Amino acid sequence: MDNEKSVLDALALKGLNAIFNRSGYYYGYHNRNKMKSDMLALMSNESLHPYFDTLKDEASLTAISRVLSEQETFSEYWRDRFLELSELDNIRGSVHSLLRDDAKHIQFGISLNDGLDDYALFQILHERAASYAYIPKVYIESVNSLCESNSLAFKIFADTELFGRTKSSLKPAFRGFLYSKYISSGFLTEKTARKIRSESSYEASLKGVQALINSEDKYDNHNDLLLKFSDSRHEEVLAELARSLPIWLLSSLLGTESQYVKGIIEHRMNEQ
Amino acid sequence: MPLEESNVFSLSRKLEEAGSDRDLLYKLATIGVNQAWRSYDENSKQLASSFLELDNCVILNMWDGLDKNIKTEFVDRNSDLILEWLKNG
Repeated sequence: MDNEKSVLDALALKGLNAIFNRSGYYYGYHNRNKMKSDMLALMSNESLHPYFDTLKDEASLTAISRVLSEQETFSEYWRDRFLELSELDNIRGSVHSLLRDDAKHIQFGISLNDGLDDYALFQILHERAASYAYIPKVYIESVNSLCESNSLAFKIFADTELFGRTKSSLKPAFRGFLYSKYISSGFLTEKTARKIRSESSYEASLKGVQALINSEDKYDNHNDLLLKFSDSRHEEVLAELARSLPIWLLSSLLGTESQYVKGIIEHRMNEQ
Repeated sequence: MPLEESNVFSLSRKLEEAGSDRDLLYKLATIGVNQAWRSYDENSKQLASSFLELDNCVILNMWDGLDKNIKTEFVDRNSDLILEWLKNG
């Protein structure tokens, strides 16, 4: 009887591992919905919590977070497990996985954590993300969230990083993205507009001007700010203005030597 | 296999404490034995083999969910018994 119990115990643990420990993925589940509902039933069984306490690997927790994210409510046990993952020290240790969009379980924890310091999270992500060749999705979400919860902190960061005395070391794609958030948050002044106009990167400057064109409701002096870009040295920026400025402001671009920009202006004038 | 290493948790004991019937244990064990049967490591092979030595009534409880190959192996191992049963009508 003892032997029977220990064999069944070992097999049941193997079964649980096959379902939850993704290194032992159970191929017997052809129906994903059935698998999810079985997972949920097991996760709701309190007597299995000691088992779940031992599950700490990324893949297993990601699978569990996927199941939980589809539920309207779930137990305190699971809430606490994922809130623990969203603590800043834990995020710091998993920052590369997060930026590679490879840590859905931590992202799920972050989404549950109403008390998380958005600026501290942004700083952790920014420190690493800035060396990336692309802007990670989680970084974009973090900036969006920071702009909503603590826009002043974002403004202070941007004023120092983008418009400070020392030249920003950020890559053009990051500068462009941060310019667009800065502008769409309503922080642009004539001084910072001139700085974006004088950007060495057309890509970053263009992102700025595009954000300004789309933020008319944020600025009483919208046209004045747009006109700050009219002597840009970047043809792409001038072309964007030529496509978007009100007709009566197009004359501000007539000093350009670009045939491409002149062509756009001519086309718009002829449309009148 | 985190729990087998740590050996801190007896699933059957926990389920008994919680007053659950054995269905959940059997269900998980069925998944486990199917997984063990397909594995190449020695421990899994040993576990699958231990399963076939369990009392027939335990195996009967798990029969429906068992992998076909495990069922075939069970029939092979018990061919004398089955033959006798067939002879007796």
